Amino acid sequence: MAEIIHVKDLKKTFRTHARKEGLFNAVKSLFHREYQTKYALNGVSFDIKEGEIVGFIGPNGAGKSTTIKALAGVLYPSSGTMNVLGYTPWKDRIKYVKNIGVVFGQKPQLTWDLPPLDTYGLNRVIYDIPRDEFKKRLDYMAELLDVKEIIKNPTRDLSLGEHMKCKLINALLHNPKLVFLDEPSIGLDVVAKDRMRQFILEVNKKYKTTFIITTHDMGDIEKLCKRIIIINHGLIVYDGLIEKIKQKYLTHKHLAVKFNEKARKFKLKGCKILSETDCELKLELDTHLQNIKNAINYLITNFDVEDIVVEDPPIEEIIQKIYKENKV
Amino acid sequence: MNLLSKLVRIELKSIGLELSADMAYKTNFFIKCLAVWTYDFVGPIVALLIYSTTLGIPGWGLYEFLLFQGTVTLVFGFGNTFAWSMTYKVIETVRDGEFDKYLVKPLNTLFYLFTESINSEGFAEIFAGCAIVVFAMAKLGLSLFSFNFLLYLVLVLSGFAFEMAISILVSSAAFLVVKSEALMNLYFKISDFARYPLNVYSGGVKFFLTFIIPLGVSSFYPATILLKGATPVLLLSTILPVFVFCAVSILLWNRAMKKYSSAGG
Amino acid sequence: MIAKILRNYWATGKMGLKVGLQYRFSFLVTMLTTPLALFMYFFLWKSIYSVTGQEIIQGFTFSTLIEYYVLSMIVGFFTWCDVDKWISQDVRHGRIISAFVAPMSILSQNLAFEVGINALAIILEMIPVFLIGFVLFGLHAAPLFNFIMFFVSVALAFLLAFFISFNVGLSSFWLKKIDGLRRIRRTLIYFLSGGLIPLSFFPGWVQDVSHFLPFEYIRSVPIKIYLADYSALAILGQIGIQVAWIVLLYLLSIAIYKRAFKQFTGAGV
Repeated sequence: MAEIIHVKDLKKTFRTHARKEGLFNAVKSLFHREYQTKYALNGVSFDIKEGEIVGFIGPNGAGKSTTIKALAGVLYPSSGTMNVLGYTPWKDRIKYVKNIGVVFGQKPQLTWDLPPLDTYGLNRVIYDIPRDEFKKRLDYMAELLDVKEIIKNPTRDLSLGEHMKCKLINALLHNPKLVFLDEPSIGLDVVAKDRMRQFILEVNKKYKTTFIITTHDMGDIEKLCKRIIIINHGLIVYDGLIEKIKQKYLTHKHLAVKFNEKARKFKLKGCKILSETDCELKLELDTHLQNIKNAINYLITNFDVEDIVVEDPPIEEIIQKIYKENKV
Repeated sequence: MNLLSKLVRIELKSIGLELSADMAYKTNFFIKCLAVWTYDFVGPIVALLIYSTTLGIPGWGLYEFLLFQGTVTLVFGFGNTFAWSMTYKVIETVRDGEFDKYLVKPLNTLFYLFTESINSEGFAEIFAGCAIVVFAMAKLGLSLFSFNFLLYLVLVLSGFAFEMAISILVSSAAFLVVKSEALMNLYFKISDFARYPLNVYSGGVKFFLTFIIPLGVSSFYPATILLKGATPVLLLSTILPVFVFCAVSILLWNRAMKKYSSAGG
Repeated sequence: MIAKILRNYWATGKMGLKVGLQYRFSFLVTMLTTPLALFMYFFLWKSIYSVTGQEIIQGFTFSTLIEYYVLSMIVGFFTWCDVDKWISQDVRHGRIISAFVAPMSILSQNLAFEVGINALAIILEMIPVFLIGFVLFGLHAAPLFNFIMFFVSVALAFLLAFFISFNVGLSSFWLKKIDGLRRIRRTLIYFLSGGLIPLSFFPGWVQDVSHFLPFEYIRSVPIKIYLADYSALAILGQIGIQVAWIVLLYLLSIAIYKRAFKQFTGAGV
């Protein structure tokens, strides 16, 4: 598949002013302001192929949204080059922007007083979508997300989940090659999140749409992204497949053990008890010190075990580890 | 005594908070005060234009009319700072469903509302009004230490009271009827009539603005009394309607509060 | 190419119209209450004219002056422009970033939307005031040429007011809260365009300077066209000046917009 995004050595600095609390400082700031320079991006480089679903992760203030804004053509970098779909985003904005879709999880995008359907109609004109293709795609997506009826209600009457789904459709109606999702699952319940993820996978399969997702939700990462880019302090800290991360950093396994008797403490090499309730124990096993087979054997032999579940530790933990390791 | 000092402390704190929050948006605060002054001094400029090209408004010389305008600015300025800000707050919080917080605190609802909604740029308007009044009085050779000035202050205070009363009335309407913004809109259009001396209007209008909706106390009667003095009859007939209005508005407010809390918010 | 732009404008304008429909109640209220001011000016100037004893003051008879105020109200409906409020709200709530990602310039989006949202208001408010003017306040029907030119001039006045408001709105990229600035804009435009009192009451030098400012072209000039204060040729000249001001403010808006965009991306909204 062709590469559609080339980012080389992207840098961005911001200037902000800080104000302290209290009436005295408020008056003081009327006459004198202190400015701080913030280095948001310190040289970010990556390439993305068509049809990929890439997750962007990083702590707040790491440079995620700055990168996304630059990719969306809404930010001039301080230095560096960027080529997306053959355009330099911030230079050819109006032409470039026809090929992308953006969903901001926390910001309003649809006209508040009117039904989403009206906004869709407007976009049909602005993005030059042929009528029949528009109808086909709208029906398809509304069906997938189960919002066929509610798109006729004013946006202000929609629940958070419904609103999010409508925004998603809004971004995809014109069949963009590249879609940015910024915190798409914020505030959604489990069912809605799942629906949304299925939807993204469907669309990606059917239309080869490239997705870039910034998120704090590890469920999004695990279910959607094969590749993740981790940003911290304005630099890329990891860029690669999730599988590779798991292999490299997966030195532990988590065991959830259910007993038929009251759980008793025990000592086994490489085994740490994470939490316990009456009949359950959660254990962390260091696979370098003890292999899983031996551990399970030990437990079954010495206790009346009803069930054992073996899992990888949540990817959250792994990523925390990576953040810590790369603290500048 | 304890309650009084408590109320005073809350009042000062809320003014302090209001000023602090505004100064955070430093440029906007300065500009808002400037905006208020631009608006308030346009009136006197128009007065100068009228008096330089015509013989002016019957019964009022230039400085007398400026005195009149300063009084309107002062009284409406008070209204904008303390009274109407409450009404906007009520409409806003009822719409957002946040009004309940005013009912929950162990403080009189109206007073709490009052302290929370002080509009700081209104002080610039009050200041402008005073400045114009003082200027006009100086030009007219009127003394601050005269009996007429005392009466003037009494009338101005009743003007303040009327502003409070009418704004509370409209606030009550926000609970008892829908779309009270329309009512507010209508009232403001009517109050514009008080920006010119009541003697220019027909008898019916003058009657209406003296006894039915006593806007006369905002400007016409204080200014007239300062310039010409007053009989007890005049005083009574202008101030009494204000008292009636205050009573009606408090009654209506209590009714609205009862309805609101009994309806489950 | 042009057809495409027109289609975009039409679609966006329709959205504005739909939003405007939501506020039809408040338009109704405005329509019913605004004409009250006409009574106020009627009484005020009646008393002034009676004391002064002249028939004509600064070029106006009493009846012409009242016609002036009626027309001023009508023109005011056309030139009421809240685009600075919409822009500042978009900037503060973050919606502006979606506006940037749309394949239509911010200027076009706002202009088309504003026309749409005002269209209904103008019709609802203007017609009653015309009627009241004819029936109660002695507004006369202008000759056809003046009548048509009046509406041309008023449409241009709308564009003029729009660009001033738009440029003020762009300042919200720097100032975030611009309600003070907006109020100054409204007051200044209202006063200097002759809304409170006709410009001929101003000192001579002010009137001379005013010809070089855009304000009189927002209200006073269209009114004078209606009242036939200009010859036919002069009318065309005045309209030309209106167009010139629109072009100037449009160019200014492009310059400000470029810097606003830089500011926006720099400050990381």
